[in-house]
Amino acid sequence: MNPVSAVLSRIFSLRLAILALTLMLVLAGETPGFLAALDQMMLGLPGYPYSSVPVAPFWSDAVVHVGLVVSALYLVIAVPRLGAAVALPVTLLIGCLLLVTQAALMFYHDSWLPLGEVVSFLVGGYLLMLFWLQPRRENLALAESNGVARLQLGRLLLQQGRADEAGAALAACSPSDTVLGLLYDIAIVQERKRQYDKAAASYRDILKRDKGFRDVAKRLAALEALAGQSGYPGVDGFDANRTLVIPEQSLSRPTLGRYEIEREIGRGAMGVVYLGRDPRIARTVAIKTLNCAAFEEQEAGALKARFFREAEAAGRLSHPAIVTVYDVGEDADLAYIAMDFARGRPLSDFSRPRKLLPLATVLDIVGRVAEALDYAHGHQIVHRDIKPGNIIYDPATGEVRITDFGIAKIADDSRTRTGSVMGSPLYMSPEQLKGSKVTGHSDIYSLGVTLYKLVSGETPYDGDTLASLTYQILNKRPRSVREWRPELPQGVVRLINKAIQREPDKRFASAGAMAEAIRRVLVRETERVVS
Amino acid sequence: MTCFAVAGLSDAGVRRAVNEDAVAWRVSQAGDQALLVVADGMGGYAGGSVASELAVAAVLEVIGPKLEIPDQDPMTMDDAIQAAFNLAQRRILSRRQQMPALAKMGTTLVLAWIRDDEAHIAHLGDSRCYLIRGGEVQCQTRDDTVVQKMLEDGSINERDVPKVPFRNVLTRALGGSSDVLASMRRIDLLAGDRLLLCSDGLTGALPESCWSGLLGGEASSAEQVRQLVDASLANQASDNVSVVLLTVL
Repeated sequence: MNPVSAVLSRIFSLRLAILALTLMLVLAGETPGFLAALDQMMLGLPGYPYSSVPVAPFWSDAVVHVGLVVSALYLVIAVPRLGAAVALPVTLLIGCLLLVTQAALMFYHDSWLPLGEVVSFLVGGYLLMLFWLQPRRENLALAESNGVARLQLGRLLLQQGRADEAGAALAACSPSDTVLGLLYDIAIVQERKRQYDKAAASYRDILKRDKGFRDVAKRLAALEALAGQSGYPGVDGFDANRTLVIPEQSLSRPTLGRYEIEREIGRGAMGVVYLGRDPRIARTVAIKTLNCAAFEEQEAGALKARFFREAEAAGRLSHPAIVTVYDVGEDADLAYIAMDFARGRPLSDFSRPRKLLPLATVLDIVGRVAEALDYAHGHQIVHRDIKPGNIIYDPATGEVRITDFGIAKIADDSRTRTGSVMGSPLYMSPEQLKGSKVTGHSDIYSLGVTLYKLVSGETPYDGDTLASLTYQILNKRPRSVREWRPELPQGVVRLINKAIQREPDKRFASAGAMAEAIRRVLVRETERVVS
Repeated sequence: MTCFAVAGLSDAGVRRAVNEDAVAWRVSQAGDQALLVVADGMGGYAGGSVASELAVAAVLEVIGPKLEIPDQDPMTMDDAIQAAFNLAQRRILSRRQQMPALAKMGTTLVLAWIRDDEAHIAHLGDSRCYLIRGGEVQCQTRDDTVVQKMLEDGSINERDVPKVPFRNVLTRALGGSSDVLASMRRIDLLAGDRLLLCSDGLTGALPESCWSGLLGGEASSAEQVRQLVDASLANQASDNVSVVLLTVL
């Protein structure tokens, strides 16, 4: 409210009018004649001779003025507090006391104090104040119920996760402890959602109303310190792979949906992968995010829809060698999938020439992956992106898990033009590259290339550009795995060659058949080693 | 003495909020030379439009003044064209270094420099130049895309193109590759011929077979361009649509 309108809105108040009247009466000095006459007549009735009107003492004017001012203050300050009902007897009592005092002075001291003026002012003023008290009471009742409603609305909005709107609902509330407490909760939620700008604004708002409220000052300082750092999420928001800032201790941990983010554990084609915790059941989860900020709205919508559809399909799978999908959700511009956190390392860690796993281990792993794929294909779900990086192996327990069912290729397909950011087609089957229908046979091909890589550290095709690699996969014969590892048993070579046939029909009939073939080779190899 | 009518238009399309294409055209004062440019930027956010505008500006800067010079040697013209591509590349790379937010930007570039009855056509990327003669539409450029390579080596046929996973990937582009040697060709123009430069938004939404009905007739170049763009928008063009059309009078 600007100062002019503030003054205007106060000027036309009844209380000010009463104060102005008081001032006028005081400055006018002379008691209006009719009042004095009335007064004298009233007191004169008991038979006091008019002729011998008692003399007013020299201080009588001062007393009357003080009386007027005190009455005015009583009217404008005390009466509203007392309420009309209580103020009535009090006002009458004061009036009576003044009259008795006046009479007593006249009869016993023989001096005339014109208090009638004060009494009339008091009674008249009270009647005037009644006009003001009634609407005021209604206003107060309204304001109070409004405040209660806003508080409830704020609470409700906050429960629904609409923190910003909750804050807006509370903006007009008077700062009670309850309101400040709720504002504090809102700020914490904003902080967790990584809306650090908004959280800081909310904290500042609380501080404005109550300087020492809880640990607000400390939190605000921590937020402001964070704002100074580079990579502040409020500032850039550009890189699709940008990470959530995991703030220092005095801030709340960021959350995605109901999951608390512990730390970043990797970066995929779509976005960052976090280690998170479901606080309700104290379960550790891996959270894959799809950052939609990099796409235009409509594109992002279609992308998210596909992301969720694939994740939900994968969620129906339940197999010991497939990472379980628990939950999908959306938070601000991030879509996410919460899945079982598979301990261990991706097989890509074991696919460089000097870091290969023993042949028997590789065959065992690939065999188990083939079995899991057979199970998924039985549920009409194709992985589409089998490669060492999507298979997690825990050397300590020997456990194997396939991750990213159906979702890995989503971002790739939609990201346009900038070829460098896209995944390499090294493990992609020819039919996938041609855009033909992707079936379980494509997974078999990719698993064949994976096996090739795990035993040799190389891939069957090699091209320095996407175009030349695509050409080779579609048109050339693969390099034999024996080129890299001449001592490799014939059985393993045959396995690989059958899996990576260009024609889908010439590959293994199913992932199950491939698993069986691998088992047979594994048994033969173990027997050979033993004998 | 040849006379040209040139018109162009660029539209964001029905799905995209940002237009990352840039177009420009110039006709010399004598009316004997004309320059047509289309660039299709990429790189997300503001990047795409920055790159395409830098490229178009570089072309106008290098070739624009040369439009007023009569009787140039065709070789010198080709050198000037390559100089324009090189300048655009330098500008884009240096801007990418200055601003991390633009680090992924790049652009295609196609231009046609027409002098009398000869057109010099140069391009990089998948923005195309078409010659329309009689009712026949002939593409004069060969896309620098993975899909084009696959088509040429027979890996796929035309029917597969929309389904190929890497269909949008360019093999060469300004800002995107170190090799920015423009693919060039010269063609002779006849009276009544049309040269059409476009971004892939047009070809993506409106097959070439639909063009002949919209081009030709008595309508002005500007009206024909408008009709082409409108038809592609009616087909729900998801990409930016840009067209520059020259008619030899």
